[in-house]
Amino acid sequence: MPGFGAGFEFQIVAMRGQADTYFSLITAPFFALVFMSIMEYSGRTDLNSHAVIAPMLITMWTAALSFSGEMISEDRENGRLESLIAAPMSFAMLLFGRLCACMLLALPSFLMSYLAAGSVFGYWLSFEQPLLFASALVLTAAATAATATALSAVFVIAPGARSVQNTLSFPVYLLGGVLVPVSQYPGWLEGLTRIVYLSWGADLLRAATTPGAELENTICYLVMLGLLGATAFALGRLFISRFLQRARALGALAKE
Amino acid sequence: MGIHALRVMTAVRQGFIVARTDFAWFYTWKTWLGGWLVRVLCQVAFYSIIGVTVGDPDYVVHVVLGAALMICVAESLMTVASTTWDLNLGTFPLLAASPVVPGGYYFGRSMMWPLSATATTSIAIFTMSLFFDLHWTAADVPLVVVLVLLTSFATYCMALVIGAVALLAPGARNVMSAVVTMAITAFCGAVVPVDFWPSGVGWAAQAVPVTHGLNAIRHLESGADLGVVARSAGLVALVGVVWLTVAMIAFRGLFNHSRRGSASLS
Repeated sequence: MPGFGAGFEFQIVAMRGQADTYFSLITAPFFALVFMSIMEYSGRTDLNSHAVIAPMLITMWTAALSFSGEMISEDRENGRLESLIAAPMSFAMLLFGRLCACMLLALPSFLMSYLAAGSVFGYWLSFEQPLLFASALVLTAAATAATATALSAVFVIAPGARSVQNTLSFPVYLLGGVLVPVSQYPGWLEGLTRIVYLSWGADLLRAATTPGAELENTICYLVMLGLLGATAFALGRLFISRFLQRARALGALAKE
Repeated sequence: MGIHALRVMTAVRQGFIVARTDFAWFYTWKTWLGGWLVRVLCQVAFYSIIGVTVGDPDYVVHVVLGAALMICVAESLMTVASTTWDLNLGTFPLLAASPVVPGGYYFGRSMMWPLSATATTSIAIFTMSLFFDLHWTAADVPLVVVLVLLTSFATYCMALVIGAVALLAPGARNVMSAVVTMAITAFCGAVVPVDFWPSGVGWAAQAVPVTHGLNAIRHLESGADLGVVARSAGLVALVGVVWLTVAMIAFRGLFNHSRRGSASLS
């Protein structure tokens, strides 16, 4: 995977000084408090694990939106894009590597959510199926990074799409069932949500941390999550290839 | 009308011209309706579905109204970012050098947010009323809009104070507004009653306009006496005026600081 490692390493260094990093992270403990307070107040403590998992998924998607929005534009403005395109590596893999590094933010956000629920409400999440949790987390993070790769290409092909970048948060939280499982939605809506990778990832992560929770076919969930992530990455590669072709034809790699 | 009042009004009008222009740059009708409004409705639906999953019908009404009013908080708090835009564009030193009334200018400068928030929040409340068990009489409809307008503007006054702080640390503007929005969502009665939290949190929540705005709109929906609704609305206005006064003092201080040649605001 030429380019992936370079992108991953670059982004880890770059993220330290970026406001987007802290913006993506800071809301996690607050979301945990909001969701936990709902569960405790309504007496649905059986759903506490949902309240701890959801902020991590929200952080992943927030980071995907925040970082994908300007990734290619910044390379252009800083004069890096031509060198990166000329380098013997896949530009799409470089972007994917950078966005995978952004997904590392899921770990501190999960820790903050876990600690907020434990220290304020005395609820300490248990890992019923640690292997399933780890594999679901890695696959969900990779699918998010793949989707963000596609988005970053869309944002640079159609600058107008940037204006709706901030509006993609709650629609995806809702359709991805980050807190309430989509199986509890009306039938027609559940069908729609199943094309959103998060709906599979969220179900898996909840099943791995909720005592007594079992998914009918765990492998099917993992495969669907992987397939949707791979599809998003394929689309991302296609969009990036089209953008590069157009930019080369117009001599506009450095600017619009 | 005194000369100072006239200067303040002129500054508000000048700020509003910038607000209108910025809003037109930020949104077209298509992106506002098809993007922002859809996002807002999804946010309210997101919390409402949680309410349906965990609670009884009364709790669902509580959460739907709470989530809807959080829209006007989130949108009004976009003021924190827009207050720093003059600094980022490099026009802040020009403003400081001009004879503009600082508080007046900034009161007009981000006014697009509370106005847009009033529209989005009102639409969210009435749209969600179609799907959940919320009851309004015909006479309630204009009152709901007025209460939302009042809450949006009072929250806007609070956001101006945070915006003044953000002028000193513009890189943290989005983090500041995100933290305040989430803290208000958690502690000011949006999803659980204020008294769910320790009493100190409840006291602090009294300084936040939307705490009283939520009370007012929930009283109205439950068919309470209009006097009770008016009392909560009065508290919204009172808290808003206090925040506005603090904002005026803060902006005057910042401009005086800049006019003395401080490099921190250039």
